[in-house]
Amino acid sequence: MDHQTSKVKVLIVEDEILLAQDISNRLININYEVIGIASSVNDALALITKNSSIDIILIDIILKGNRDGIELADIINKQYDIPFIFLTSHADTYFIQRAKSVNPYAYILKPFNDRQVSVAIELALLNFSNKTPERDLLDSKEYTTTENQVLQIKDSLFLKKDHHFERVPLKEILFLEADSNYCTIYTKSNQFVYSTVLKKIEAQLPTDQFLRVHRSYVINIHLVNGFEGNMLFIDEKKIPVGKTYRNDVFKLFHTI
Amino acid sequence: MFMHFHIRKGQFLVILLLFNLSFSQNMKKADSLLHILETSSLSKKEQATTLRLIAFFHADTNTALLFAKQSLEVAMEIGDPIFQAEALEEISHLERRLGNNSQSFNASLKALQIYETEGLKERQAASYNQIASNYMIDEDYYLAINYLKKATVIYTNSNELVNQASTILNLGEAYRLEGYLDSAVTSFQETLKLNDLIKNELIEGYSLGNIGMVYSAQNNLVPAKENLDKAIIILRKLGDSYSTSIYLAELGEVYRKETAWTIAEEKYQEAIAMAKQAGLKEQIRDFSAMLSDFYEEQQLYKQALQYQKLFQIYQDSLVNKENIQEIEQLKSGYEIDKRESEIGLLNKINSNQRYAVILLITGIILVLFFVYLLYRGNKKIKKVNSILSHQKDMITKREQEKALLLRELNHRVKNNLQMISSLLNLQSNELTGIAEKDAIVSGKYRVEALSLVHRKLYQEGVDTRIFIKEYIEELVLGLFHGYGAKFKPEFNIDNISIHIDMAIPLALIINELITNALKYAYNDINHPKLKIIIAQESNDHLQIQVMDNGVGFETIEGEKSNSFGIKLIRSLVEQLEGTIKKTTSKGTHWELNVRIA
Repeated sequence: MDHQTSKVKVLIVEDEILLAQDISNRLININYEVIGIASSVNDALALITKNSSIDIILIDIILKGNRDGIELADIINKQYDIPFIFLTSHADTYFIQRAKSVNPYAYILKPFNDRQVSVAIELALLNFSNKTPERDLLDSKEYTTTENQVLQIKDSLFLKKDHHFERVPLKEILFLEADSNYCTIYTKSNQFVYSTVLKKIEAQLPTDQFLRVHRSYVINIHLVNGFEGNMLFIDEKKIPVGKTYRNDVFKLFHTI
Repeated sequence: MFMHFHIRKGQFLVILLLFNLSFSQNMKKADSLLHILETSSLSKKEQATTLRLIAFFHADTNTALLFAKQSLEVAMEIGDPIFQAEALEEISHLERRLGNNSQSFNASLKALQIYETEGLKERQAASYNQIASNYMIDEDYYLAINYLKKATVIYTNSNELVNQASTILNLGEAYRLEGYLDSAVTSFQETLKLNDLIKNELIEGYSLGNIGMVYSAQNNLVPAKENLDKAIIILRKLGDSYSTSIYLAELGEVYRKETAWTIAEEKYQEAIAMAKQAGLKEQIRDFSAMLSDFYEEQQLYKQALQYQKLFQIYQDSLVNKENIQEIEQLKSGYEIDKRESEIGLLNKINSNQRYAVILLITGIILVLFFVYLLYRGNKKIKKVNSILSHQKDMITKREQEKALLLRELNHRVKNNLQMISSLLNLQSNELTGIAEKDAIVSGKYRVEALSLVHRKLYQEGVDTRIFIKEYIEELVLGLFHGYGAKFKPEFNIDNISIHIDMAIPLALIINELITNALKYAYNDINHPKLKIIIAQESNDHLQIQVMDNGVGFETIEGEKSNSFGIKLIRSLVEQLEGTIKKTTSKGTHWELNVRIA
């Protein structure tokens, strides 16, 4: 199992080095990958350019150097498509107004605890997925009751497990299997079990890539390597095709 | 017989009328004075004097009286008594000349009063003389004698011989007319004696003539003739036709008593001729009557009738003259009244105008005063306003500075709490021993409980407060997250706010209770539950219940290991003047009652 590939990658932009390390520790503890700590806007931009696959950026508004976190956020908005979270102890109007102008996806107010970090990341991913920036800084955020949040961002699914998300690239998903209230996602190297109905995850998947073939199965069309009768082969696994889905499914596979 | 009808007057010397200027000269002088008065800016005193002199010199008595009265007014204005008295004297003369004797008396008496008050003896004497002269005209000889006596006393003491002689002469005449012939002789003889020193021919002539008249009345005919002759010689030389003719007639009377008819007729004729020549109508009338009488006695009826007619003519003419004089007096009185009332009216208009001007000026001053007050008030208000706005600016600036400082302070407090929490977290990651790690983590959660208080604070007036529902829920959820609890707590918390001083101990108590439960209560519990109820019991008391369905506190071995947490709870409950009670049956039930105000 290659866990590295499935971890959500986080960049921390914070000039208080102890604080940065603490956040880094907290994130690593809940299975995120911290790809770097930058203490200035320049450092942060260098790291973003170097790592093309950053999933989320935590930005302290006050930074070393002559540019601050809000200016960094502006650049990210214009040049990169990455969700970011503001980290600040300033809750006064001036900062909130300025912060709002760059449409952050969530806020973490100092002093924070583990839960607030987790809530913020989930909220940022959710907002980014829905393309809605966070509007309210000060409202207490209810940690989502659905333990099994599934989000599609870019070409990956973000799957919530315990208190953190794992990222699964869509092209690595083989198929999804429903088992009453549970649902298992099979990837080339791993499987994820969620206590959620298949239909809900299916909604997050692009239709040109995934197709329902059975009451209990959704498959990745691109990864079908053969069929036999009403069985499809995907990576050595056999998937049954339901009667109602048969015509739709075999339309895709023209027999030569 | 006719003798009863008229009084034969001797000579009464009016001293003040001894001026000897011609009519035209007087008038010129009056005109030039009038010119001076109109063109020069004279002082009030000079005005009073000038007006009096114009009155004195003016030919027309009515006009003169007006000037005299003006002089009196000016004198009253400046409050100078002497000037007033002089004006009054002049008024007295003029009134008398107009025949207004009572007004004349009044003026004289007033003048006299002033001189008496001022102690001016000679002026007093002159006034006495004038009053006496008035009484003489009124034929009130008794009073005239009184005043003349007073004047005599003053002149005797002051050695004014001419005046003394004249006064005594007048006194003698008064005695004569009153019938006190002896006293009259004495007076005239005293006058003659005095005149030896002053040698005044007029006085001598009058004295001698008057004595002669007394002797004649006493039928003392020889000395009467002697004195009358002497008087006639002296006065004829002086050209005094009036006196001379009277004494001649008296001499005729004396000769008639002596029955020396021829000489008597001669004297009468001489007297009447002289009277005719001098145009003395009264004398012509009187002498005609005498002659008519005389001729009747001589039985020369033709002549008697002729003189009787002449008498009648002059009598009529004189009566007529008196009538005319009376009419003139009435007329002039009326004119004066009219002019006075005009003057009064003008004065009134004048004074009304003056009042109006004064009123206007007062009004303007008042208005200006109010305008000034308003201006000052306005200025003051502006000044106060500018001070106020300046102070307001300063206060606003200070408030802003304070707010900035407070924000900065809050910022630093939060950063420092974050730093403490981060340090503890970093340290706990490095530790491997369970007990040490646990101690550090507990510390971290306590700091985080405090941090959360700081995030949730808000200002209510001067109080810093916190809403406990929001706070406790987030605190408990944070702990559940931190300890990886898989179930959800239940809350039933009143939505109230409490002061930060109460919130911090309360936060720490709940932190300990929840931590304790999460760490120790749920080992092997299938369906763990935790319920937190916070209710406001009264205004200042809060009831807190924390219930779990765990293994029960007594059985927890952690009671020992977490004894610091328990101590902490007890101390903080004491700080909140509260009570804590624990029941254990199917879990643990904590019940707290704390004071929050």
